[in-house]
Amino acid sequence: MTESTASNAQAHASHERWLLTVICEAVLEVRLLDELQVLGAPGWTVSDARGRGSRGVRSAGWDNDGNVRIEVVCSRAMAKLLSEHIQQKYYADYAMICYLSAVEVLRPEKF
Amino acid sequence: MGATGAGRRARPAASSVPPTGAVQLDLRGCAARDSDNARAGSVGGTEDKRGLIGPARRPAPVAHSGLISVGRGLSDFGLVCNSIAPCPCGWVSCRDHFGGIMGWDPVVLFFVFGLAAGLLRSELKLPPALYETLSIILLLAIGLHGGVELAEQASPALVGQMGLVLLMGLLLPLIAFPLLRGLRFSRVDSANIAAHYGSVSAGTFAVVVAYLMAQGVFFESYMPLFVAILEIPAILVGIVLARGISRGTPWRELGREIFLGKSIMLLLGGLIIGVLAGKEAVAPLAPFYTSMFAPVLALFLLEMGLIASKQMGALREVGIRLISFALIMPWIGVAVGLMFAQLMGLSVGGTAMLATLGASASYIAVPAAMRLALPQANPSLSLGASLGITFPFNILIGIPLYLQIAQFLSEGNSL
Repeated sequence: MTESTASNAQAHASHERWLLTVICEAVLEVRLLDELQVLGAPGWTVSDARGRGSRGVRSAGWDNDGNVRIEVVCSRAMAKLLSEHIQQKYYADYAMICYLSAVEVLRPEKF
Repeated sequence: MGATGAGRRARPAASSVPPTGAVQLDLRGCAARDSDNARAGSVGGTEDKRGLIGPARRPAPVAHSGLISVGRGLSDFGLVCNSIAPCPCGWVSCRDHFGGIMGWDPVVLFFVFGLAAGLLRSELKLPPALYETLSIILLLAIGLHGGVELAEQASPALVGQMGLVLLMGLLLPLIAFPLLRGLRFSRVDSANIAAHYGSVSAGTFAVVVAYLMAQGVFFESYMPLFVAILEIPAILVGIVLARGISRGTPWRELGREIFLGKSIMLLLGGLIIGVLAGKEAVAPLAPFYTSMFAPVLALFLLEMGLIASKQMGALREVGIRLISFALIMPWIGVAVGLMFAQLMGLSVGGTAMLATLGASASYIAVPAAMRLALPQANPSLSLGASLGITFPFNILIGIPLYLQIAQFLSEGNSL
């Protein structure tokens, strides 16, 4: 069992990709997804979110009060490109955070 | 929100017999005792002498304390009982039952309830999906009802009226902007807030529809069309005021947000379906704007109360200048609305409605569009003013006053 786990870990380690997570105002969703497509993101997952940050509480109680969480799994170069674009264009004026984390994937060709 | 406000129901004075086809109004769905008719009061003689359209549909408001007898038009919004049978509540007369202790309109009380619960920091919360559903039903219902009636009332004069409404939408932000600049708000914030106040609130419109229906006041059925028209120009004016005409404004994307936004699509969609299908074909869908309307509006206002309470909390940070603006601007909007209503030759109800639209500030369509167009603007200022002050003011105090002003002007004109 230990041997099997170790071999799995080795296999996964060789398929390391980056998870870019963006949490931002829901109003940006359509615009941001258009831009991700243009910049070449391989795909994304969007979910509704709520929370609190430096711009106050965003409780998602009604139309203009929600956040979305956009997750993109991609190569490191792509993640860097996307995050720089987002940072330059939106950070100053919108409630938004974005962070990167390393993830292991089973099918590297998808990302 | 004292004696003059809060949708406090008018209690007419004199007495008369209800007209043929009249029904007894009771928002809680209880009918009047026949014995109540004996002590009934009347508001007879309030018939509009000017732009009455479709006189056969005009409810003849004959009422007694707490009970208003109206023509069949009122029942269209589910705000009346179609019966003069004894009250099913049995143990209490309808007059007492209807008026309650304070005589408040129950729909407005739901807003007060939400407001109180929010200010007390209650855990009460409606699921966001429910709020979304309620607002969709309300907007569709208003559009559908307008469309059904429009099919019967359309006239060439409507084109000219639409032009005037468009002009009103352009004028309002141009008045609000210098006022805000005078209150020392930045150019971008001023343009943003001006766009909110130049546009209209569909939620406020739903309340004024219910209020006029409950009061038995006729209004032009195509008013939802004006709501859709009024939503748009202020956004464009606001953007131009803040950033000029060119300078990289993403007009295409904004156009999608402005013209294909939720409220405009639902209002116009309902309107077009109503016009195309006609009254008889739409009959199976009529519960949208009959029996469902008041309950849906009540729940919607409960959530709006909760939302407004959050914005009120944020107001502590923005100060007296914004609060002053949010209380002054509705009256300017009312004056502009009244002026345009006179130009358009609207009925008393239509005049009160256009005045209310002038007084209202957007909190759905404009915030979304302006957030994209003017990201530098502080949204807590515009939303704090429109949702935290102006919306409650209009719901609780403004609408009954605007109707009284419209009635006063009408009486003045007819002398």
